[in-house]
Amino acid sequence: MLNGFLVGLQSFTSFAVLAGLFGGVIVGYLVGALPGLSAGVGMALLIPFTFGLDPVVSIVMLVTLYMASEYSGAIPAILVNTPGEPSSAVTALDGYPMRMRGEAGQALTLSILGSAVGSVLSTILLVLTVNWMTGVALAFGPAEYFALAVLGLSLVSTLSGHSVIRGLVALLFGLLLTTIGTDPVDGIPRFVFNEGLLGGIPFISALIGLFALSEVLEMLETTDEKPMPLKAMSGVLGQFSLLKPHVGNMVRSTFIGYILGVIPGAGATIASLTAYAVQRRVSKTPETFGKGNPEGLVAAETANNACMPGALAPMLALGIPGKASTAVLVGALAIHGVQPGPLIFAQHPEIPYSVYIALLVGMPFMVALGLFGSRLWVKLTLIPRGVVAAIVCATCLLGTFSEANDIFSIWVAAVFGIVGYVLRKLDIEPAPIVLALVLGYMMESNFRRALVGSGDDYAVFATSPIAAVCLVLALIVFVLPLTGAMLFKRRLADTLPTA
Amino acid sequence: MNAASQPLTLPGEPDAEEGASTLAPAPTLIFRRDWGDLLVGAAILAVAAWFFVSAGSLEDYSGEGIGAADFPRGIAALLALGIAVIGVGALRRLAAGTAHHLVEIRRYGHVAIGMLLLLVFPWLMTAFGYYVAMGVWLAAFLVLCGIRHPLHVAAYVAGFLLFTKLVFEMILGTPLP
Repeated sequence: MLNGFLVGLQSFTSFAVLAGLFGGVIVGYLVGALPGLSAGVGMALLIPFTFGLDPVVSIVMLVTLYMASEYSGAIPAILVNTPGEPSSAVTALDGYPMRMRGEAGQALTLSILGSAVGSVLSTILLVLTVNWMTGVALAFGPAEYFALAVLGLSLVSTLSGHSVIRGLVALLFGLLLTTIGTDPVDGIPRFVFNEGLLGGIPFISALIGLFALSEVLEMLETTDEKPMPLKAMSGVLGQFSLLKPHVGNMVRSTFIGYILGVIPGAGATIASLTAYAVQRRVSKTPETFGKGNPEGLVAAETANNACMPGALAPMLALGIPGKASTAVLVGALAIHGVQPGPLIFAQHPEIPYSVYIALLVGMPFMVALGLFGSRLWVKLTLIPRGVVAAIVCATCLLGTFSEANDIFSIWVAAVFGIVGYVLRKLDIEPAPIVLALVLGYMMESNFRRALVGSGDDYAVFATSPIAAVCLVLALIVFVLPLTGAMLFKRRLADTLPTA
Repeated sequence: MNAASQPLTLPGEPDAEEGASTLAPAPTLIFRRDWGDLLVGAAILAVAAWFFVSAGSLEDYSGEGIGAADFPRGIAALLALGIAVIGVGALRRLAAGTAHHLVEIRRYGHVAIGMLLLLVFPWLMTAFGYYVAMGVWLAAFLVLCGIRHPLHVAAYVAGFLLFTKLVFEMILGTPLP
């Protein structure tokens, strides 16, 4: 591990990596503070800029963007009651009433410091647990990988939106699309009605379409929205000693955030809501939650930011992206020929260790930028939505072209943008489609390889303990909603928008 | 509408807060989600059927095991089943007239033109090259988004094209037609 950190640190002596880190944080702030643009959209937009960059620079830039956007959504949530990210909606419950009481400085200080503590502690947990997970994963064969992919996809489909069946349909639609292109075992072309599809559906184009262009089409519904001017704001900087009474809260919320981050599909919104609910239960003043209780604000922000390193654990150790944002990271690494999974630590140690260091080194910069730049970030909410929509859309189209220097990829993005918009309108989230596009190939190839290796004996999935456990868990996840045990999860999902 | 962009309202507080935004009345298309489920379900079902049937013409080198056609066929069948469940639910609700979700598409004309513009861009780029296509397209999109002042539109378009030239062509080395 020490050698890995040394390799990672060596990368950080490069100006390009440091520039990537700062650039990622700044763009993350911009994306997070703009309501309507999520971390996934921001990362999808940034990917075209990383094509010509070193893989370490690319991943550092994208990871710090992810980290900063998870925090900066709290700034407009606290100051103008408009969450920049879905997960920041929980932050607004107590943050905005605090701001209305004239405690904006205190609220912002608590949110950024809570985020920083959550992120740093969670990164330490990531470093400690990933090695263990990698050790386990090295023993995986095709049957285990197939079962793991099924488990990951089952959780995602269940937690994506308000309806299990809609999540499943999105997932299956995505899986069907992954069968386009060259067959992973026999190498024969399947469903290739255009030469550009031989390598499968262009992932980045599909991603940009499903996430960003569909978002732009939604924004067109409200580009006439005129934000009301902000009143004068009291001092933003608070006292750091404010954190002292919240140490237990932050540690507890970090664990909640990290664990829910590791679970595929759970996401930052569920994490912040769960930490908020737990803190309310243990608080001596639960009746003040929702009326400006700093405990609620700290719990939500700490868990929200602790979730992000947690989400990186299965991606780095197993190559399984549990969330749309980590799916984007997998796609970005794939462009550079890097495959996340247990072998990444042996073949490309500079990647995971640069990620750890970026999370730790980028944090002080993020805190400073958050505290001193909050007035600027909140002004982003005053940029006309029409300008944001048009520029984001133009950047998407340009980005998809630059991925393959091929106009066909623009067609793909445009079609997926329209499909994504229509599906969103019917409460079918695009996230399971994106995850299926990442995991589908792995799922099919490992399924078929496992059968080839076992002489077409399906018992191979039951005789391997890991595969059997994963498949049984996946089955439980599928069956749970039918038994009504998912009511709790549904209530959580109904309370707030999904991540 | 993206829920993240909606201001939250706390108990006992008025809907419109400072810094929050307001929306003027606009033409809005409202319909039962069930109709959308049936229409989109039929489209997805057609896609699944196409995959299922087309898979039949694939060569199978795997002998008796799982071949190139089997996985997509299995997925297509499951997808059809999922669509059928949603469709039957929609039909039952429509027949019974029970409670239902509504789909609202505000400024649907703008959304439709936006979709059209998305589809037109690759054609424009093939015909006229990147800079002309993007110049015209971005101006049209800005106008669609409510940016009507000619100077503002020209400034945004010029700024974006300059950004493209500097960042994509000169720094990242992306050749643009």
